[in-house]
Amino acid sequence: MPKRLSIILALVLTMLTPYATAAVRIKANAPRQVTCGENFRIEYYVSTRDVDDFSGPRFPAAINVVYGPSRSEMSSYQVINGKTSGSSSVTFTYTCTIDKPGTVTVPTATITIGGKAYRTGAITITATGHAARGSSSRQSQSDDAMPMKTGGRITSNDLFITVTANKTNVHEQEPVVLTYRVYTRVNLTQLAGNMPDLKGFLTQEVPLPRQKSFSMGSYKGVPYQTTTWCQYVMYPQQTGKLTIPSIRFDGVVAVANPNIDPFDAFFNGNPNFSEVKKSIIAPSLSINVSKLPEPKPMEYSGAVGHFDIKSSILTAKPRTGENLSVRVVITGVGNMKLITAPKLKMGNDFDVFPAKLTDKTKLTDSGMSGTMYYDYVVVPHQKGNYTLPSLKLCYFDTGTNTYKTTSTEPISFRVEQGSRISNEDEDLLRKDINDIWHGSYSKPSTLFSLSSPVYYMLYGIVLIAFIVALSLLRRSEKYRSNTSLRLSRRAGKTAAKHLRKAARLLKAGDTAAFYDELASALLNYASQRLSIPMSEFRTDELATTLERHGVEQSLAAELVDVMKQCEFARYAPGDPKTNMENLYKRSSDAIIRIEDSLSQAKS
Amino acid sequence: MRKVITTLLIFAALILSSVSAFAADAKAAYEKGAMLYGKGEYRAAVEEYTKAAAAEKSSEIYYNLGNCYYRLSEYPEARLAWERALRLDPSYSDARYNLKIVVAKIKFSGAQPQSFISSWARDFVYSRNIADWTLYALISFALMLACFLVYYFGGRLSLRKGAFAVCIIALIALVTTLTCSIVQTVNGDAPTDAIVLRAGDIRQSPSPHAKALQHILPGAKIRLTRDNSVKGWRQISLDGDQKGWIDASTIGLI
Repeated sequence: MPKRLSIILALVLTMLTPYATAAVRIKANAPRQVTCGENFRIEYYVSTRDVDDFSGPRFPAAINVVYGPSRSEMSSYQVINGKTSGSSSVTFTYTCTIDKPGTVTVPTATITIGGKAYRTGAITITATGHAARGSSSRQSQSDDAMPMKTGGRITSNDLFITVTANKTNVHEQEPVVLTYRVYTRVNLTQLAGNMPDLKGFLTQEVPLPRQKSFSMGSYKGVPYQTTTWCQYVMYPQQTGKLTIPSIRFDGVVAVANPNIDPFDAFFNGNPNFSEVKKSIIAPSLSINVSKLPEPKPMEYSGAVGHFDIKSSILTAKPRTGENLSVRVVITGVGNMKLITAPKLKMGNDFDVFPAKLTDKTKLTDSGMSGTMYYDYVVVPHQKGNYTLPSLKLCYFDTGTNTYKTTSTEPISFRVEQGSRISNEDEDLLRKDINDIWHGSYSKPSTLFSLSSPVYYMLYGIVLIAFIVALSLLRRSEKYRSNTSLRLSRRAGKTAAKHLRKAARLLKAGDTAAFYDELASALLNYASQRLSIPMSEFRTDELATTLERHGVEQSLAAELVDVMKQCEFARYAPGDPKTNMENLYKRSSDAIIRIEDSLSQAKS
Repeated sequence: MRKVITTLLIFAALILSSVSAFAADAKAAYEKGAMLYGKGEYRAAVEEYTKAAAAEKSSEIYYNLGNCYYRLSEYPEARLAWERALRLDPSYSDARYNLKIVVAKIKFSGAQPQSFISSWARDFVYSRNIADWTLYALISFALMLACFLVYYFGGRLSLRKGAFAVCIIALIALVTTLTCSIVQTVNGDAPTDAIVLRAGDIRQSPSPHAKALQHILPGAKIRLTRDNSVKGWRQISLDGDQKGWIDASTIGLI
């Protein structure tokens, strides 16, 4: 058994021999020349993984170690024809910067491998140039974790926001780029803030990626993770000292919580971090805006910056009735978006349609820069030789602080007869005119004119005809009303006649005929007496009509009741004879009394 | 006494005969023009019709004159004649149709058919002549009174309601038509529009050396302003309020 074990051990040892026997290589890598303020790397490469200890060099004061050392391991294995070979290495990396130009020597570093100490050679680095400090935007992407402060109190040195403007003394309309930059040494997980209330400015936000990626940078020599949070291009609309107010951002920072049991956190799926809210105040900033020099030229377009204008006719052969494209191009830097479209004055022989704007500008540090295309569609009406007038652009040049005017060259062009005519015109062109008039000619009427007396007489005739018709109709209306008067006078007599007939029928005992006669006596009486046509007669309105004529309410109700009884009595139970006599009596009584009260009311 | 009457009668007869002689000349020229037109002698027909038109104002004479010019392919002149016919009688449909054709021809020649922006109100007022408007006014007046009678004495309620509505409409029509005829009467017979007969420039001031505002081609219709104070020049209105001057010898007044 021990024999077998020794064989296995021997085998393992044979397998490991390449590492054990191969010479350990150690190498220090660094750029020979660097730029001041820029990050660079110093790498120590060891061709084995069995590094017991690494003690870095004692960096001279001229070198700032931004971060390091970070250890990265690499190993590779190869199997070729059953033969296994492999290699592995460790690299220790420092990220450093140098502030002042000059030559700096990095002393040796000591690496202990398998108990044996190896020393690397010293490195000489030459730093040149002057890179801007603090606002340096050059960052090297870090592969490893950044120096994160994961515990303790978060101070304003750990997380802050800077506000910078590229210029603080500007003219009206001169673009200012405002940048909010986040610097952090903590694990910032969330950040939210409102846009500053930029009064007196016309503001455009520079589109930035929504997903912020932090990169490494430094602020006053201290390394931070940093990102541009938001950026605005602002065009001052007022003069004087304009203040950009300070704004509050609310951030959430992940902080290591030492009180949490790491095992508990692990099993509960809870990282041993807790979230802490932190509000950050971005400082305020003021910008001095000076007035544009007076007097402003008449044709001043509102542009501030530096511009150039060009115009061209894009249509090769302009024709009448067809679209002619005129392109005006403004190239430059400044408040491009605020330039009013140049007015194209082509005279009455053209229809000029509003320009279509193509914006090929970008937001840059000096405002909008690029090209704006104004494409006008112009329709010529007439053939002939024309000139595209010179277009002027007057702007305030921020370089020289003066007003400058650039203009385009006038362009001559010829408009040919267009073939495109409307369908309607095409139809008309194919048709012939109507023939001449062969009859005798007429002369304009003199009768119908405002100066002809006959015309006014015609009005008189119409008016007289109207008056005659009016009087005739009024008379006939009077006659009609007289008829109704007569009828109402006759009503009593007619009623009496009907009643007499009813009395005869009562004696004869003809029940049905009696009720019919009685009903018609009442109905005729009421309708004639009150001049209500039979067709418009309503029993239920009768009572109110009677009252209007001055008949007592009880009397009117009695008449209505009697009329209703006539309808129902023929089917009523009891002695028919008595019923008939009773109703006859009530009917005649009602008529007589109403007749009395109506004649009283009249007199 | 009898002598006086005789003298008066003779005097009246003389006036009448002179007028009728004038008319007779126009009638003869008109008939001769039609005859020449039938033979295809358009140039001679133009002369006859021009003579007739000078003697009598009649839409038919101008209409026939326009046809002669059209046959001679003198489109601006043809347009002028038809525009004159339509000024006398805006409801002359034959003239309107022929005018449409000649305007299409003028457009095809490359000219802008009209150099001003017409207003709908003015077009409406001049869409009929005074005789038409006054006749319409009289009809509206009669209709209004008739409807009033129906409204006042009518039996059925629906009939009375309808009559009232028509009465109000007739009143509005009366006001409108009377306004149109008054406007035309006040503006009088003075020409307001003209046709360009020869190509030229519209100038800023009445001088051949003044700055040219716009080149104008024959056949275009222009609108005159009231200002005709400068001899040999007419002021015309262009786009909106802009005004210019044109050589009066190059245009024909409608």
